[in-house]
Amino acid sequence: VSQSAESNARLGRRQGELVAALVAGGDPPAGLNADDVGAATRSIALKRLRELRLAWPTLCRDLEPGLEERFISYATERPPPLGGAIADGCAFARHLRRHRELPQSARIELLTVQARSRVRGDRTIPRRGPALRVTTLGEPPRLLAVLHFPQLRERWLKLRIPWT
Amino acid sequence: VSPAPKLGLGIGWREPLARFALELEDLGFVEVVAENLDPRRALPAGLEELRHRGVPVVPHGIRLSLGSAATPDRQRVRHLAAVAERLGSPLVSEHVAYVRSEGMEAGHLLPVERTRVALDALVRNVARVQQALPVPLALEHIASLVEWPSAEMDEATFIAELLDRTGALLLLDVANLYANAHNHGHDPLALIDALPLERLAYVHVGGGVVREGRYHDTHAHAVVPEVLTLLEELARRCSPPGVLLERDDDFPAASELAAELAAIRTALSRGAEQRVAVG
Repeated sequence: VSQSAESNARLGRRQGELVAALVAGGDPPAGLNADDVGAATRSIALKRLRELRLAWPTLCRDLEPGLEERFISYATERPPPLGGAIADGCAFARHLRRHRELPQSARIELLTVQARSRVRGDRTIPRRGPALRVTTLGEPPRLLAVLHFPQLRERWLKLRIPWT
Repeated sequence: VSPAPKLGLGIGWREPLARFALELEDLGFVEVVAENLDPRRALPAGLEELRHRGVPVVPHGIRLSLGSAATPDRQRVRHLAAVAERLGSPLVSEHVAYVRSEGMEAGHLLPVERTRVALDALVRNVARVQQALPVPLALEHIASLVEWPSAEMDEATFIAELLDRTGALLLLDVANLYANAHNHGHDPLALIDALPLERLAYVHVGGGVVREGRYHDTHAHAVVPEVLTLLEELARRCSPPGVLLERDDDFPAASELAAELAAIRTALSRGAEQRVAVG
């Protein structure tokens, strides 16, 4: 390996360390001001949150008060997915669901968004084909299904789960 | 004579500003975020109308990651070229920055180390992109809250050598100059004086806010007076081919945006008067 290839690889490693420090909870690269990195970390998370509020109004409303701190603690540990705010919200909602913190109404929003859109490249775009998404909801649990046909009405199906 | 086309006064085109842009008199040009457009589909109506009126549209890339140690993604490069083709753009612009590393997205423009090694990587990546582009490329220096230690050269030397070695044009952002001056104590006028202004393609003017002592270049707040002063200082030194107001979020009333555009015009003409008086 040539010397320049080696220095370029070192450059790449340092770049990776800074990205990891900003969005994946990593330690800052040696020599960087930790306060500056902290401020940048928070600023990047807040920018994500601004976009999230537009794409996920129900989720954001139902997590108030405390949305900001909840999202920052999530976003500073997890890099933004490709697909922009819609995809970021999907990942955030799934994360909340795993921690049993996803509000009921936001489950419906998540279901709808997943049925209507898919990620392509950097963006989330409307689905061209039909899609079916299912979730459980409420106490006692019911099955909620949404069937999405582009250009047609969405069909919703709610079923009591008989064995619970 | 600047190698860049005359653009005039413009605004960053965003969907919520579509109506405002259509009603603006003397709109010189607009800029669109390249990644938000699909060149194979119909353009947003407001943008199509501007195209129809002959308003130049400059695609502004934010995700090429030209400053990465790694080579730019081919598909992203092709996309930027296709958008420029589709819009009949006079030029495209991107950043002196990186945004990802080994598949991990930062979701933000990050600063490149000012070292020989990083400069070589940038020159390589820019040259590769230029080969694929149908039009000239302008490069924008960024605002950053973090700074790499042990820079081997100052920012002006770094940018000037990058432009010199690649033949790229300069996109000067006076708000970014102000941000780095405020946050890191750089001298913005020294930077303006040391940059190759004869390669200037156009200028960005954006708003921001001070939070906990740091200036954040948000594009979601009003343009601060210090940024307009820097624009005036720039206009004392040269006649920018284009100046563009960037507003990405928390869109204010049309009257407020119109007032910001008017303030930009005032700063430009004040600077120009002093230039004439001196020169």
